[in-house]
Amino acid sequence: MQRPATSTRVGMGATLVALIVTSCGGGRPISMPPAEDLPAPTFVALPTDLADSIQLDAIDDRDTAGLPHGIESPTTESLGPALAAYLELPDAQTNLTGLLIDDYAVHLSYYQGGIPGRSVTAIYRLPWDDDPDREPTLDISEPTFGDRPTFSIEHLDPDVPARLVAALSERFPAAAVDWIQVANPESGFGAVWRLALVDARGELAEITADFDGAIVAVSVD
Amino acid sequence: MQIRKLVTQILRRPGAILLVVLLGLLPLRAWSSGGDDPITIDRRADGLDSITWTASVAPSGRIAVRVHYDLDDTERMFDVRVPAGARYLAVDGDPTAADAGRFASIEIDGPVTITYELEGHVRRYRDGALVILAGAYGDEERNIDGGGGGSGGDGGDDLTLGGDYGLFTCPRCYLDPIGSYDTPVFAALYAPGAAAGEALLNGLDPVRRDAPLDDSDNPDVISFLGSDVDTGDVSMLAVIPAAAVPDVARSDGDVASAVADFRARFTDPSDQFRVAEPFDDAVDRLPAWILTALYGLLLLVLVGGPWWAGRTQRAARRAIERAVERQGGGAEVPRLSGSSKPNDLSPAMAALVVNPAIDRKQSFVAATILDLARRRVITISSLGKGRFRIEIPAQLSTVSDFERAVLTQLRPLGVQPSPPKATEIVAPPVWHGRAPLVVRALGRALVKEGIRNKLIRRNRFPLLIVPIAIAMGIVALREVDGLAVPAWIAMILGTLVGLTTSVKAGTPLTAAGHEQRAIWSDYATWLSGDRDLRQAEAPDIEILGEVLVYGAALGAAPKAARALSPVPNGPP
Repeated sequence: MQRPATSTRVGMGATLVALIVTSCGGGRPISMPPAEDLPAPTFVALPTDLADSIQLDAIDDRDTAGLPHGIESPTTESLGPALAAYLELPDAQTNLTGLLIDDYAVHLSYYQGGIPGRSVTAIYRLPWDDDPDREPTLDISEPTFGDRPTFSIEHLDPDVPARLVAALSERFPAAAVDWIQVANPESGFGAVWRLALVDARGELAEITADFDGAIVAVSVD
Repeated sequence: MQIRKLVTQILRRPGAILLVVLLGLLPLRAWSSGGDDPITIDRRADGLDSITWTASVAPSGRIAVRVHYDLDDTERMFDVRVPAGARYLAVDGDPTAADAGRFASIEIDGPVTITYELEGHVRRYRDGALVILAGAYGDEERNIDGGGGGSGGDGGDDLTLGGDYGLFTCPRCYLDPIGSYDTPVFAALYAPGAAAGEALLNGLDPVRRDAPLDDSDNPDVISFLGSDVDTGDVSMLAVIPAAAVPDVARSDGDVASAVADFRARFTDPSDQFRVAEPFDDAVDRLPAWILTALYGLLLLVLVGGPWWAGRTQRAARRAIERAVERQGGGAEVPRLSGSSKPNDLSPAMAALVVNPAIDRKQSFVAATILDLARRRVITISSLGKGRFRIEIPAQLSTVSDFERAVLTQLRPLGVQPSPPKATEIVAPPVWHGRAPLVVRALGRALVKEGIRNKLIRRNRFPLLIVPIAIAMGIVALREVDGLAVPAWIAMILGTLVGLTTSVKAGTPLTAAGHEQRAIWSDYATWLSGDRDLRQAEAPDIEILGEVLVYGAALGAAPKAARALSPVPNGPP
């Protein structure tokens, strides 16, 4: 087979160089993927049974060697009566600076007389014993300075904490809710319920739930 | 046969081939171009092919976000960072626990998808709603609404862009090792009527609304794509219809003012938001037509040049054939028999047509000097031992322009003395150190004389390549995307090819020149057979006369020619 002339070979080489130079001329163009590769995200629905909350899947149930958690659950059933009793107070505010439910009381903090910074806490306490003749008490603490942001109790459903505690107990039998409170609105979530889930090894997770009971985040150590 | 010859001629010019290929790409690219610039990524981040961000806005203003990182299969730690208040955090669909609700670390070895929901990032006004995924208030790291459903933002001046509050957290910062390079971002925001809105982006440069998705039947999506500069933070303000978020409490003012207020907080140029403009699909074909026309012209020049030269040669051949026929008829025709001077063509012109490469072979100068001596305009007398004297009188009899140019060059310093006086040269050497200047000056004079006698022509045809290539380059640079490098190469190469081809083409013979060449070549052959002529010296002009003149002109009297020629080594 006859080899091409030198000039022809040079011409072919030059053409190749031109094509390479041209192909290296710019960056890689990008174009939008097809619409199906950009699906519209869907929202997580609030389950009827809070124990089915999908975010609870992020918590690994851990071995406690059969040891009991030893935790007394918060008196969530007292929230309704506590709020009712609080609203009976002459200087009751609809905006609270804090709300904590533990195993013996409901703590409601607010600005006394609506004066920002003048913080007091109304403590709704059940009787120490089971004597049905004794009434719960509502004590007001001495005012102290506090500058926490407020949240409204108008949309607070007093049944939600009990539902959350029940759901967590059902989902994690070896653990129990130690306390439940309304988180600081500055946390980024706004006003939400925050619960500490504890087992025999200590705190298992901290759970964040919206006022409607939707468990939206969990934090584990 | 002619076509084959033509193709062979073209193939022998690699520069021209390269130019044809390169310039051919310009119209091709222009025709294939689809309107606006495609977005290109020059420096792509290592291992991260793209980021796809999508979000849905609910009537309540809650936003569901999905961020897909198209990573290679390198094993790496992925630090998940989401805005404070991000709900339902999941990685590849699996709910994920996050420290303080925001931070998580996972081991990955391929693409990963992060999903979560946000609240408090939408503000509704009377004329529209603003989706704000653009920053945080200072160190408090609250979201734009100052804490979701809480007490609301303080509206202060401490808003900072980017961070964890944009479309996604700086991947370069938390995803190792991808380097500080750019990454394509594809994004779509779904909300009722969103396609009628607009998106303003910071951190994507360039950024464009995407036509295919926007042009789809779905009016509820605004999509865009862009290059994430350094794969860093990306922030967005999106304007959507107010009706898309009916459950969001209405704020005072209007969207335009809100956007203006927001943008006014940032004075640093790097903090400015760009409106993602739609791709312009209207394709302007004028540049493609112009490039095609110019390319056609270029091909015409490249093919037409050799074709024209061939045509001239064919015309000359026909002219010679006709001349031969006429000679048979006894008419006054050029003589083709070699033993006598064919016609009255001057020796310089005879040298030119027989040997047109005047840059190297300067026998025409020697022949002209000898002819002037033959006609007794000047005298050449022998001094013995090869030396001779040239005498040029003060006053010259009738000479041609070219002869006058030769005589002027023979004067001291190549200048006509004033007042006129005689010049005497004892030679050799005739020209001393002025030979190169004489070659250039008399070469130009000879070309002028040749053109005036219509024996040669200037070939400016290839010079047309220069403006054509430059015009194509400029049109490509200005009007066609992604052709900067080929356009510049085409302009430079076109100029080089045009100039070199023009110089190479020189001053070709006309049809008349070809005819004279045929006639005088015959005479030249006859003269070259004369051995005495080969040994003749310049002073022999007195004896040999016209034979020596044309012998020097046509390469048959090298000794005499060399003695008078300005070419350092003399003519052949």
